[in-house]
Amino acid sequence: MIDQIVAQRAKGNAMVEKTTLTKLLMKGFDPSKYNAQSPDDAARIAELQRIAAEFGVTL
Amino acid sequence: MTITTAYSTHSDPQTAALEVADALARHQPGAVLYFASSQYDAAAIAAAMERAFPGAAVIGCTTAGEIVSGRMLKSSLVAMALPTDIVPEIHVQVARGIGTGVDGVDAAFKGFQAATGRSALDLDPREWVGLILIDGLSRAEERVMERVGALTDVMFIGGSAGDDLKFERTRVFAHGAAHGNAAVLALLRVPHGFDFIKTQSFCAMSKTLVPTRVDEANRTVLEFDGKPAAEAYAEALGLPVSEAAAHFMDHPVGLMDGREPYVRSPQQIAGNAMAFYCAVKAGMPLALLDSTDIVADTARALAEAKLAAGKVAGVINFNCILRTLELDAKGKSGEYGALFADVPTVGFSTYGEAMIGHINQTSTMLVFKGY
Repeated sequence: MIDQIVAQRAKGNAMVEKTTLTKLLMKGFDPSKYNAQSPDDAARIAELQRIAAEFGVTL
Repeated sequence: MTITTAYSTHSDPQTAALEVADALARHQPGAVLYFASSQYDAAAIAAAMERAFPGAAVIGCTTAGEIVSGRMLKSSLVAMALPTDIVPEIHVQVARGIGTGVDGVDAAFKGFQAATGRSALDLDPREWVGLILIDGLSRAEERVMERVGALTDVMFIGGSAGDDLKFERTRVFAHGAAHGNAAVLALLRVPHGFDFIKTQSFCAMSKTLVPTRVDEANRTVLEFDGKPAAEAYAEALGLPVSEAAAHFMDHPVGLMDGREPYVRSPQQIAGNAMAFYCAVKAGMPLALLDSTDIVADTARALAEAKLAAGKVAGVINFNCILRTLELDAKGKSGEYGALFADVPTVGFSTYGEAMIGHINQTSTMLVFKGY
């Protein structure tokens, strides 16, 4: 989900990739704490869905 | 054409505006950015500056001290003229009512869309950059920056208006008027390129504090690591709580993005809680920071930016008032100002800096590349 948000916003622009990750961090969501093996956490998933909607990203 | 700067220390707003215009207007700028001490009547300086530059987009705000090429000033008016070859296109919007929500930000971006014919999400962030000046007493910077960040990938950089440490009334200027409870947003097309400097003179210590109870709306941490916030902060520094506040300037905390801190500065101890100058999120670890040398760090950051840019046409510096107070206390304000002697620079001492989010004890700068 994190990767989708970043990819859809950045469209391959490395600077936007970086700033999008920082925007997530500033919102209280540290992308570096998660990877594909991270266990699903319903509350965090809901939070990411909210952020995606705010960012105009379709998951 | 080149970016030019000017300043006036005349106390009359009309005379100060005319002095600045005498130095800058012959360059027929497409945009003028100005920062004015709160000693000036805000409405009068806004009207005078608008009249002084007919046909240009004229924006600014009140300050807690001003910066102009090579100097740090007090009780002055400083301005930068941006020629149309550096900034051929600029659109200005005022986001109103920011103290209660983000509808004003949304309306501002609708205005940008109408002006550019494109959604702000479709603007190329390599060609466009944003400036943001926010009412520094609105306590709305976090929500404004979050909304701006959701609406565009163009980087908005700026600061919170000051009022010379009176903490009574801060104003942002656009369209010839002074606005409160508002943010001025400017969207600039800069075809020759630009860069950013974000510099804060701190390094991370080994200790980390995790806010476990916060009152985010009031920028207050109630508990770090399950302990009363003031007690946990003092313990991390090895100090009694009674001495902790004396170390706020040297030891703020930082939300770490890799090795890059986004500084959160403590304001005061209230009971066992700690109030900050910007909001702190629960659960996000904050590194305890240790201060380093502002002048040396800024010199290094400027040198790196100059090297990367090849040629620098101008710099806009949004420098935290806490950094200015530290420079003043150490007698280094002159040395700091002199770092900007060889490049057209304008800036001010802010009540908070804007870059991706709302941050403290930082200098955020927009660097215009030359050609």
